[in-house]
Amino acid sequence: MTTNDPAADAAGPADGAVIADAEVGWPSGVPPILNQAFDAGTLYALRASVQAHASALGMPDARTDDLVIALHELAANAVRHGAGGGRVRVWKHAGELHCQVEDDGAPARGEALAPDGGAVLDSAGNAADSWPFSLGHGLWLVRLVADEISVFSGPDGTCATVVFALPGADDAPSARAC
Amino acid sequence: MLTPVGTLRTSVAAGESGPVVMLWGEADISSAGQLSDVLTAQLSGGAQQLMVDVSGLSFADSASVRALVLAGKALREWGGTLVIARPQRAVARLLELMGVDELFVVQGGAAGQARIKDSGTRESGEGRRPPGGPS
Repeated sequence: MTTNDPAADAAGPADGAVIADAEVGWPSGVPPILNQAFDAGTLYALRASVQAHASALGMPDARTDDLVIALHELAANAVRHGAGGGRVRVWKHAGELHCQVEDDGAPARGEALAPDGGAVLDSAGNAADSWPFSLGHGLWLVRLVADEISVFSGPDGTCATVVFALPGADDAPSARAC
Repeated sequence: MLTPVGTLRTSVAAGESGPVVMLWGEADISSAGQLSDVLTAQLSGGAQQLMVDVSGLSFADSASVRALVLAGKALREWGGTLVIARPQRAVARLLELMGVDELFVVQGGAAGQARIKDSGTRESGEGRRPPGGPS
């Protein structure tokens, strides 16, 4: 996006989408290493992709298991409690994997969403607006294994972001934990 | 016919102390109903000791484990036990994370080598190391 309005530059990101991106903590302007849609019938393909990328980046097997568990459970929550499907995006940034799972829209059951457009929940969050933490183990499990988690619920659906640290030096594909 | 990827296959055989349900492939929310049906059929048949051989299962999610938990609780009420046999690493990890590896008897496989308690890992940040892998 370009603009000739100096006031806009001084004020930083001004439109809602950019602000939302910044709030969930993943790097804007960096292409994701994984960008994959999912629904109930393609969760296995999502798991395979996540596992392949994590292994290729040198993540230890046990930690890769945790990452696959986390992203699967978030995606399964989107299938079950959201609109039936969604999209996973994964970025490699500063020695970490930033993984975003968003559903395709508001929950079919029309559960109440925050009127101001949503709320960010930290790892202690217990009042997710559209993916109930209290139903099942899914999000609870994610909180156990992820280094960080935030959940953003808005009128267009829910977006969860989890962060997993990569081993070794950043941007060193050959680095392996031996 | 080839088995489609990402699906759950099941079979039941007679074991020494009761039926053995064998699982292959991947068990997730899309197959949890299928898994539940297989387990329920064995419970309805009067089984008291039920072994679920998960050695062919490369992945299970919380919905699948929940089906196992329900079967295990029903058996326990009747004085029986559910044995999960030979979980692969990822399945053993999930059983451990969900705290149900002590509800069942888990035999063999990757179980037992990753007996860490993970209740506080999210605060430990990027320095966190995984439990000892099978290397």
